[in-house]
Amino acid sequence: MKWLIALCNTNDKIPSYQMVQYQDIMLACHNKGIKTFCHIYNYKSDDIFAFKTITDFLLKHQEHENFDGIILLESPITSKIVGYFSAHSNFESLYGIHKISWKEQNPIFHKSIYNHNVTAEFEIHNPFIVGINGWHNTNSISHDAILDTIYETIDVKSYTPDFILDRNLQIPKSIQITSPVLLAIGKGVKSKEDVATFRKFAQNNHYMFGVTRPVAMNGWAHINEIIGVSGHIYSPKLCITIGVSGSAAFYAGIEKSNYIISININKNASIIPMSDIGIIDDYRNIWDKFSNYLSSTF
Amino acid sequence: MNLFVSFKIIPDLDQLSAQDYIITANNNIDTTFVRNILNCFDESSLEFGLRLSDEAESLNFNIQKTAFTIANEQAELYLQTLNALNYEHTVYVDSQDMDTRFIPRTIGTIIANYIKQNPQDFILMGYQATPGNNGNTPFYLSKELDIPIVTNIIDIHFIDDKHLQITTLEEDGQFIQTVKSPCILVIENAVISKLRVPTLKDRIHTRNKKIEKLPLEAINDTTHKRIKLTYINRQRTGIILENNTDIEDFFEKNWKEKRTEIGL
Repeated sequence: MKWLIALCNTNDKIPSYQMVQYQDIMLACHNKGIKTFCHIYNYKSDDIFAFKTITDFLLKHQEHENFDGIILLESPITSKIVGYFSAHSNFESLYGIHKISWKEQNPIFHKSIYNHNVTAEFEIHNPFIVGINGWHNTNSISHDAILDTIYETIDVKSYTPDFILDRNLQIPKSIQITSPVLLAIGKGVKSKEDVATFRKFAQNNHYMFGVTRPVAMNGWAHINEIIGVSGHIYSPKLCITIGVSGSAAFYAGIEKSNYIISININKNASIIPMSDIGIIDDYRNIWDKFSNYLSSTF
Repeated sequence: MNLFVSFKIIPDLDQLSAQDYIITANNNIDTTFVRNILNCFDESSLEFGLRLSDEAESLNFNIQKTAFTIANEQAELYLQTLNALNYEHTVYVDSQDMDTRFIPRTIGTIIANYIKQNPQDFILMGYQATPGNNGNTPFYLSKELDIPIVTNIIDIHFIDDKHLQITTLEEDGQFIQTVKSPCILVIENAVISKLRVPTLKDRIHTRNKKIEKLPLEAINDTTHKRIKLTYINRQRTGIILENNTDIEDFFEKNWKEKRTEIGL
């Protein structure tokens, strides 16, 4: 079998999460005797059609190379490449793969479905293209066999299609700080003002900040602050949730937290058994005391 | 302008508890007892259709809106609502017992076949839907119709009969763009999340308005996936603290050790 592993980046340096995925997959391929090739695509972050350029290149490459499988590591454009490629080929496809296991020599691809309540294990035919998202790190160590791979680096030329007549940056992306602590706010927080207060608290204490989808859809936070499958995925050391019910789609955004403390007035909220600590009270009653302890931690 | 909005009716999975996720021998989960809702991204698309129509009307343009789904007769309730909200054409393909969870290529083909008979200027659709969470259907549709696609859309406004202004949320931030038809617009976390509610008067006035029901065509889908499902158990220790005294106890006695354990 012959697989291609593709990495898409906007910097010259490969991000650490891609290296982890790459090592895990390469080691598995080596153990199964799968010959691997690697493409590194460097594209510009403002090129919204980089996915098409990369896919067209892959499709052309596939005509000569006949890969049995293509694995796209996690990136902001992975889902689009998988979708576009499979639409323009006879490849079977999956996006959102977080684990690969094996049934003899055949890979089994794991992804979350039913809004992240269920894991599905897929056995699909060659040729296939799969895209990684939310990878479950197997902590594999670097291996000499990884160095035995044939690399190719491709610089992607920007492409502006003619059906887009003009394009302007309206709001630049805000830089989310990196912190060991994440503060996540849900619809149980009673007002836009309270959400803003918590945002300020997070900023003052250098915590990361995010909200559930209903909070953003209510206009109480920016869409870019959504945590979960349709927003950001975090892996802080400590996550504090306030007024969050605990839908699986949200929880996928915090489940890699080392420790979760949840404040909720409802003892039966789904988030409580999925937390290490559940504080059952109105956040307004206990926040002062709790936040003092939190602030004194750092 | 001809505007097509496809939507999916899904089970409200937030109503299911862990015990309700019973996986059957044929790798299905019974959700028939759970209420149905509109897929959230599609709900935004449907409301965008109405807002675009309002904007067009204020500029003396007209939009012919089509709402389309693939579902069993449960679709009729939703399409009656969309009739009352002034969708000019409401259509569903009767899915019968088809398992639509993991066949985005087939879904794309069904939608494409309708649009080839009824050409559209713009097509709005949500980027993915439960339970399959595939995320590929818009791309299959784009290929079948040979029209371009734009994703990550959070807002749309009307310009004229052939052009829309879209806002996308991308790696570098939020962009405003003008797109010309034909085009597929894939909606994600949009600025509008809820479909408006028709008045009783609108409902009465449109109660006899036709809903077009189409048969399911046989489509040769060559994708073969063998699947096994497992419920994800996310239980943690779930220690309960119930008041300020509990909090005090926990932090005074346990926090120092716990934070070292966590890595803080």
